[in-house]
Amino acid sequence: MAAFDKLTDSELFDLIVQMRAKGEDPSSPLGVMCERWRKAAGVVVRRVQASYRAGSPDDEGELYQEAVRKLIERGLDQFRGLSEAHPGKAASPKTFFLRIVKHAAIDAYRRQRELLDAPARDDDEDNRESPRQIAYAINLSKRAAERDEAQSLYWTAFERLKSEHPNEAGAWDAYHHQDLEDHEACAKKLGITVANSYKRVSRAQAYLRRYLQELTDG
Amino acid sequence: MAPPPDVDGDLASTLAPRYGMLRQSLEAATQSVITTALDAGRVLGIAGDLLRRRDALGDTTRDVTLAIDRVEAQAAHAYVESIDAAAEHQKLRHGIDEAFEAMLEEGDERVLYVHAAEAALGARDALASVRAAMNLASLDTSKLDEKLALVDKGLVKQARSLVALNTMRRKEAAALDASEREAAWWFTARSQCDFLVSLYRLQEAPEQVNITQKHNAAHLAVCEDCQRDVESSSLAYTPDHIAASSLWRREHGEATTSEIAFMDAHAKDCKDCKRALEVLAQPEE
Repeated sequence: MAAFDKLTDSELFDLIVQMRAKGEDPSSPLGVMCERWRKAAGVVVRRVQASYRAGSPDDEGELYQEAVRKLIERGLDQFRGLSEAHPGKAASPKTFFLRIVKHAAIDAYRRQRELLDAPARDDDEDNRESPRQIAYAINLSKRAAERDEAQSLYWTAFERLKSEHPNEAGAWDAYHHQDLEDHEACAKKLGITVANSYKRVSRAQAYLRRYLQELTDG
Repeated sequence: MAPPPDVDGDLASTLAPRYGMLRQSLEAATQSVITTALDAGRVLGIAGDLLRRRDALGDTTRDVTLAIDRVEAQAAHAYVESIDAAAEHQKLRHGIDEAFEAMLEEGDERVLYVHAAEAALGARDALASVRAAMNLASLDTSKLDEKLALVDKGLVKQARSLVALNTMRRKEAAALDASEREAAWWFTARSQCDFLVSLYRLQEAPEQVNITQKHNAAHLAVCEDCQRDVESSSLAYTPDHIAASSLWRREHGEATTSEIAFMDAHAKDCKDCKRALEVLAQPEE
């Protein structure tokens, strides 16, 4: 442990990456590195809490743990990838970790707000959730997280649509991304007929489905 | 081995005129010894066509063997040498795109797309026939196999886009000998997945895939490929709100321009997402 204390953040980070590559357990140096950032993580969490006017001091520990978990799961490799893709431009390991903390906090308080906004159930019996309901809720939340992650595929597919079928992409963008959601308004904006707007949006969806299937094929 | 395709109608009567003409062409083309690459390709293609459909056409081995014997080995190899695998790959890829367009179009345009796509599949099938004929003649096919792998590269998975041609593809698959079907993916892969048409086609309510129809539901229940396709295409909807992963991508410069534009446009009317973008802009240190 004492030996790790003498290393800089970057040296510790490199050591952790090397140990992982060799299949060794990096938990000791990782623990030292993250502990150094605990205080700064608390500052980030409190700032997000202030913006959301939500949360309690207990959240700091939980969100810190969540951020460490995310750093181990994907962040270490992702940071290395970012550093290699943008040499000299990437943030320091500490800033990168604090970013994970910030995103974990934003995500937590957004979810909390969603729950608060959800209509309350008035029947007491309904509020006692059975193991089956809990399992269902966990499954739903897992799927929601997967879908969230998969959003990058949607945007990749849309980029392909823009390059291969720009007219359909323009109609899809106006109708869905710019929230027109009305073919008359969409047709007016694009200077086309309503029938054409409908046709372009429908075709756009067919292409997007095909592209997403191909992206999922890998 | 692929199961026999489900085909309506009398296959023999459909095939008889087409392959009767091919037999005549083969006989006419092999009156003299074949010494050029172009002629070798043509003769081997026709011979292989007949060879791969013996079960449906009756035994064609004698005619085919006589014809192949007229092809000089150097001409056959020169034909293989002349095949531009990259160009054939492009042709087939384009054919798959045209099959997809055929699914979205109506009337004359649809007919044009169908013809173009069928021609592309026919060209790929002709190469398989050349291989079968060379194999019968005990000619080395390793060079041709390498080229065919390049022609097919990455396209087998795209067979889902061929479903608009499924009626024709099932007929073609049924005409092939059972041992030939699995390799002929351009006719067989996803040829039972008509369900997919309803996933792509213009509908009154495009967001509702018609999986409630009995035949579609029955197919979907057993077809893992279609299940995967439904699952992955279910992402083809604009997100209701800015996703957490979008915020992450935006901060790391990985979000596309369209994704950023969507986030900014959406945040104008959505307090929660607006706040998320504001918090995102806060420095970490």
